Amino acid sequence: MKNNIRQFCFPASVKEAAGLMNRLKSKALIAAGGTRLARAILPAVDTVVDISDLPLKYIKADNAWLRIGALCTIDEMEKSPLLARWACGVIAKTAGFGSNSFSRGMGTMGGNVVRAHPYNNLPPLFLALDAVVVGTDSRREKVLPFAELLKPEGMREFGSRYLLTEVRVPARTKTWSAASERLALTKSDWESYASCVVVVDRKGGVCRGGAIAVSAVIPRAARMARAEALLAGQPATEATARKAAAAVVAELEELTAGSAAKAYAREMAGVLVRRALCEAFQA
Amino acid sequence: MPQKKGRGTLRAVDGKLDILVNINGKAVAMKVAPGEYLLDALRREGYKGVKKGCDGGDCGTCTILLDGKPALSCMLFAAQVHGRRVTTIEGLGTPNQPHPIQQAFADVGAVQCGFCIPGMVLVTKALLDEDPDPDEGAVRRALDGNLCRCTGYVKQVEGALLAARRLRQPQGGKK
Amino acid sequence: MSVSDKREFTVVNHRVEKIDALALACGTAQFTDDLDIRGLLTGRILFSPHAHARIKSIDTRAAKKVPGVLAVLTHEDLPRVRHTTAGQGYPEPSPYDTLVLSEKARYVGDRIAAVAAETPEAAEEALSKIQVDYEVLPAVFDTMQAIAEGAPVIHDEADSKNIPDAQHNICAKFDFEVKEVEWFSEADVVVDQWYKTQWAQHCALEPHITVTYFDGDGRLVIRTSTQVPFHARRITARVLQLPLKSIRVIKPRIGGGFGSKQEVLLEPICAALTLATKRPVKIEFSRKETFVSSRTRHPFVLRLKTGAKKDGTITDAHMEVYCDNGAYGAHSLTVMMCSGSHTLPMYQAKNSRFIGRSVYTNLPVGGAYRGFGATQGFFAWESQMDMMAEKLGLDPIEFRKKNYIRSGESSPVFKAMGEGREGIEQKIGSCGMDECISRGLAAFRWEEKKKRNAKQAGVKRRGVGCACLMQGSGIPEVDMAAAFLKMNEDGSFNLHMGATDLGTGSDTVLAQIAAEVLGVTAKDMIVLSSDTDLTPFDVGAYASSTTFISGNAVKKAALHAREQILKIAAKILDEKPEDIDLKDGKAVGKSGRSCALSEVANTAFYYHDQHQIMGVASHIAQSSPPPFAAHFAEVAVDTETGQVEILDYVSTVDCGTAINPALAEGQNDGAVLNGLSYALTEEMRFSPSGAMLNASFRNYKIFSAADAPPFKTILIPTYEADGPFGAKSVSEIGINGPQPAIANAIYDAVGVRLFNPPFTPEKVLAAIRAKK
Repeated sequence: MKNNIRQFCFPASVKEAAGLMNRLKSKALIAAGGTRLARAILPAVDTVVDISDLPLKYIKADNAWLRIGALCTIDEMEKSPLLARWACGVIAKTAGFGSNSFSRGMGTMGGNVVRAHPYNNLPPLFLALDAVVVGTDSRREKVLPFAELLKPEGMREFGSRYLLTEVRVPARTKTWSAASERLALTKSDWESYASCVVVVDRKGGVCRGGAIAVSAVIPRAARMARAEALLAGQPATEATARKAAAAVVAELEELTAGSAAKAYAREMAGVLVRRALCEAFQA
Repeated sequence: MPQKKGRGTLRAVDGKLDILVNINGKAVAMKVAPGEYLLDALRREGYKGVKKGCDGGDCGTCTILLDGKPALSCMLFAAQVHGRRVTTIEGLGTPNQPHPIQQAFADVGAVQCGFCIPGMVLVTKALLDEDPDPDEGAVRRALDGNLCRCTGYVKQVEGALLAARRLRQPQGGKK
Repeated sequence: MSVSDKREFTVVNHRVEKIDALALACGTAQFTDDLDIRGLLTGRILFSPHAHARIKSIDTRAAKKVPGVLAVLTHEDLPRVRHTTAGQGYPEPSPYDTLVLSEKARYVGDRIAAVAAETPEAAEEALSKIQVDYEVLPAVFDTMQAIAEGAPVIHDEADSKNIPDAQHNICAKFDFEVKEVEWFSEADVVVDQWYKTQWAQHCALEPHITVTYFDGDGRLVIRTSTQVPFHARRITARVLQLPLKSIRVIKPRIGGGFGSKQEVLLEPICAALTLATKRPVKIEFSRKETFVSSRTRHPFVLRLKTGAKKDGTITDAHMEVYCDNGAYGAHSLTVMMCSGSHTLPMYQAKNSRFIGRSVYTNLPVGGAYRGFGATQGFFAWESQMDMMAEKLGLDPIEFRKKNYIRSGESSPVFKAMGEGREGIEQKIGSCGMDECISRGLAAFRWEEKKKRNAKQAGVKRRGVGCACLMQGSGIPEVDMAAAFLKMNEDGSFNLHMGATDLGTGSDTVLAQIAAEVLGVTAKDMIVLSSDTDLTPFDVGAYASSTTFISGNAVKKAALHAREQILKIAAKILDEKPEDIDLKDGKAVGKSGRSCALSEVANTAFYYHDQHQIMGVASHIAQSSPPPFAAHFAEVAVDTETGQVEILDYVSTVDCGTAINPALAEGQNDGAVLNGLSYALTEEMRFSPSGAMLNASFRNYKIFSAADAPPFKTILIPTYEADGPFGAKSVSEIGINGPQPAIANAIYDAVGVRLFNPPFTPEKVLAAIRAKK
C-alpha cells in the first residue's frame, strides 16, 4: 500500500502532541490504537504522530464529572468497575458492541469518537449522556458539547486543531436509568442496521426527562428530540415507550428522506428504542 | 533500548528509518521504510509465522503481541513499535520444545490448515497471562478477532481450555 | 483374517496427532510465501473494471517504461490456447473458454494484463499506466435473463470449445430421465417449488498465491497453493506450450482451499511472467482480489416438482437447475450434475428427471466449493421433504425414513449421472442413516424440544428442523491415486504420494493407513506429498476422494512392501510368511520368535539378496460409497426483528471408519459452521454494473468464535468394504445440512418458509409480515 510517510513523532506530552498537530495540520496522522487508520492514509500525510505514550489512560470521577481519557481502550472501558456502576453500566456494556478482541484491545475511546463513523458505539452513548469533549491545541483547552463534535465545524476542529484528550460525562447521570440496544447480522459485526442508547431520569414511576440517541441508520449519531419530548412527565410504561419509538421512526424518516433502502433499519430503530426504554424503565 | 517514554522523532535516512525493537526477547535493529507495515517488516526479517490473510485488519492471521497484548501487525507501521516489545509465534516454542498452548492445540486436533493458528495461540497466551482460569465464553470472546474457516472453532476452544488447565498445574504443563 | 480386512486397529481409528500440527502451531511449517527467494519479482494482474467490454487495444508502452518493471503482458503476448482453469482430470469436462489473459472483458475482475516488477510499488505504478481501450457492451447479471432470447452473448468467440449453446449463454447442459409410470399419475400430493441460492465464497484464510522460478537445471518450478498439483502441471504445460517434463509443481503447506484452489488460476500467468523475465515471480492475490477474481459457489435457481403417495412413498422427482457459472465455464457441468447425482438417488422416486443448465453471466466465476452442487441441491430437496410431509400429514422424520436409500439398494441415477459424465452402477454398501437419525434425535433432544415449543408464546419463537444428506467418495473409474513407500534401516518408511493435504490432514490419515498395514506408528512414516517430481500421480484433493481413493492406493503400496518384509522376516525367523504378523515395529512369528523391523531392513540393505524394500501401487475405484448424515437445528426467531438465532445444532455423520476421529470431527465441525453462516449471513453483493460491493471480511460475514452457536459433531461408525479399513469420506457432506435444516426450523418456529437464503433478519421479517 503506497503512502507518503516520511517521519514518525512520539510526543511525550499532550502539549507536545497538540503542538505537532497544529504545526503539521493535514500532513499529520494522529495514530493511537492501530485498528483502522493505517490503511486509509491520505497522500498529503507525511508524518505519523504516535500518541500512544501520552498519559491519557484514565477513568475517574469527581463531584462534577466522570472523566474518560482519550487513550482508554474499549477493553478498559468494558472492564472498568466505575463504568460498570454508572447509569446501569450502560457505558461498559455499549462500548463493546459489535467489536472483536482487537478492536477492544487496541481501539481507543478517542479513536471511536473523533470523526465518528455511524457504526461506532460511543458517539450515541455520549450524546445520550450529555457529555462534553475536551481538547487542547497546546495553549488552550477547548470544551465542546458532544453534539457539536458531530457537526462539520466540530469535526474539523477536533482532529486538526484540538487534540481530543478526554470526554466528560455529567455526574448527575450516574444514578439515571439507561439501556442500549443494537441489531446487526452477527455479534462481532461492526456494521449494524441500527443502534440506540436511552437514558432516563425517573422519579417514582414517572419520567422527568430522558435522552434517546440513535446511530447507524443515519450517517451521524443524533438525539431524537421529538421522541424525548414525549417522555417528559409521562409514566415509565410500555405505552410511553411505544409512543416514543413511533416518534423516533417518524424522525428517522425525515432524516433519511424516506429512503426505501433504509425502511427496515428505521423500523428496527423503533423496535430497539422501545425495548431499550422498557428496560430502562425497569432498571 | 529506548524507553517507551521519549521515543522522540524518527526521520528517514536514505529512505529508511532505523528502529530498535525487542522481538521475542532479543533487541533487533531494523531498517524499515517509513510507510512500511509491521507485518511486512517482520516477514522480511524472517518471522514467517506472522501471516497475511487480508492485509486489512479483518482476519487476525497477522497477530503479534505488543507489550504482551494482542495487536494486528498489518494495521501498525513498523516504526510504531520502535522501543517496544513484540512477540511473534516464533517466540513461544518450537516443534521440539513447544509451548504448552501449542502442544494442547495439537493434542485436541485443533490444527487443520494452520494458517490461523499462530494468531490463535498468541491470543490464547495473552488471555491466560491475564486470566489463568477463563470459562468458555471468555475464551470465545478473546478469540473472536481470529477468523478460521477450517475448524468451526470447536477444538480451538477446547485446546485453549486444556492449555489453561495444564498451565494451572504445579509443573506448569511441561511434559 | 488378513490384515487388509481387519476390524481392530492399532493406529487407524485413533486420535493420532496430526503430523504437522506442532510445526503449524509454532509457525515453522512453510506455506508458499514462507520461502525467501533471491531476486523475487512482484507479479500483479490488471483486472477489468467493466462487466462486459470488447478490448479494442491495449497500450503497454508507458507501463513498460516504469523503472523496475521487467515485463508487461497482454493476451497478444501469450499463445492463444483456450482451456479451462478447472482442476479436473483430462479431458476436462468443462468448456475450453478461457485464455490466460482475456481478449475480451467478461466480468468486473476479468484478467486483462499482467506485470512483473522489482518492487510492489513499481508493479502498482505499471498497472496504473496500462491503457486499455474498451468498447463497453451490454451486460447480463441474471441467470434466467442470460438464457432468454436477446441476452448479450458473452462467449461469441470462434475458438472456444465444448460450449453447448454459446448463443444462449449455456455453458453446460445435462438431461436425464427415468420413468416407470406416467408422471405424477400415482401421486396423491404434488409440491412444485422454486428455490434460489446466493453467491458465496470459500474464504480460505490464505489467499491464492503462486511463485514460479527456474531452477539450476533450467526447469520451471511452480510453488503454489493448490489442491491439484498434477492438473496444474498438465494445464500449464499445455497453455504455455511447454514440454510437461520441463515443469515441476510443488505444493507446500496450504492455508485452506475448500475447492477454491482446485483451480489452475495463477500458475500459468505467473509462469508466463517468469518465462518473460527469466526471474522468480510471485503473484499473491489480495483479499479483495480473492473475493472478486478467484472462484465462487455457483448460485442456483432450482425447481423441484415432487409427488408422493398418501402412504408417504415418493413417486415423482422432477428437478430443474440453472447454475450460474459467471463469466467462464469452470466446473459448469460437474457442479450442475452433482446437484442431482448426489441428491436424487437418496429419494428413490419411481420417476426421476433432471434438467440441468449452467449459464454464463457477466459476474465472477463459479468454481469447486465444498459440497459442489449437492449443497444447493439439498437445500431444495430437504426443504421440499418437509413441505411434502406437511401436505401428507406425516411426521417429517418418519417420512424421510420411509424413503431414503438403504444398504443393498441402488438407484438408476448412479449409472446415469456421474460427475461430468456417465456414472457407474452401484449398490449402497454401508449406510448408517438410521443410526445417524436416531442418535441425532437423542443427542438433540428433539422430542423434548418439540413438546416444549408447542406451548410457547412471546416475541421470540423457537422451532426445530432437520435435514438428511448423502454425498460421494471420489469419482469412480475416473479419479486415480498412487503411492510409493520405501523402507529405511531403522524400520521407518518414506511415504510419497500425490495426494494433496490442504489442511485436511490427509498426510496424517494416509500415514495412519500405511502404519496400520505395517504394524508401526504414524510417527514412523516420513510423509512427502504433492510434488510432481517426487511423488506419483494423484488427481488432487476434491470430490471427497483422498481417504477413499488415495487411502486405498497407500494401503496397497503398504501391502506390497509388507509382502517383501514378510519374505525376509520369514528367513530370519525361520517361519512361513503367512504365519508372521507385523506389530509394534516387529515381525512376530506364530512360534513367538520375533525380530525388529530394523533387522529386516538391514538384512535387505546389507546382508542377503540386497534390495530396497519398496511398495508401489495405484488405485482407482469402482464405486463411490456415499457418507450419510443427519442434521438437527433449533432456532429462535425474533418476530419483531426477524433475527434468527441458532440455539442448538447437532450433526451426525457416517463416514465409514473414521481413520482419525479427531480430524474427521474437525472436518465436519468446519463444514457445519461454514454451512451455518451460509444459511444466515454470507452473500456476495454486486452493484448494478456488476462490481462486487462487499469484497472484504468486514463486509462479507463469516462467523467468528463468538458468533458460532453451540453445535456438535457425532461420528456414526459403519464399515465400508470398498474403503481402506472401512473408510468412506467426510470432508464435504457437513456443509450441506445447515441451510435446509434452518429453513425447516424457521418454518417450525414462525410458520414461514424461505426459499432464498441467506435468511437475513430483513428477509425473515418480510416473510413473517407477508404471511399475516
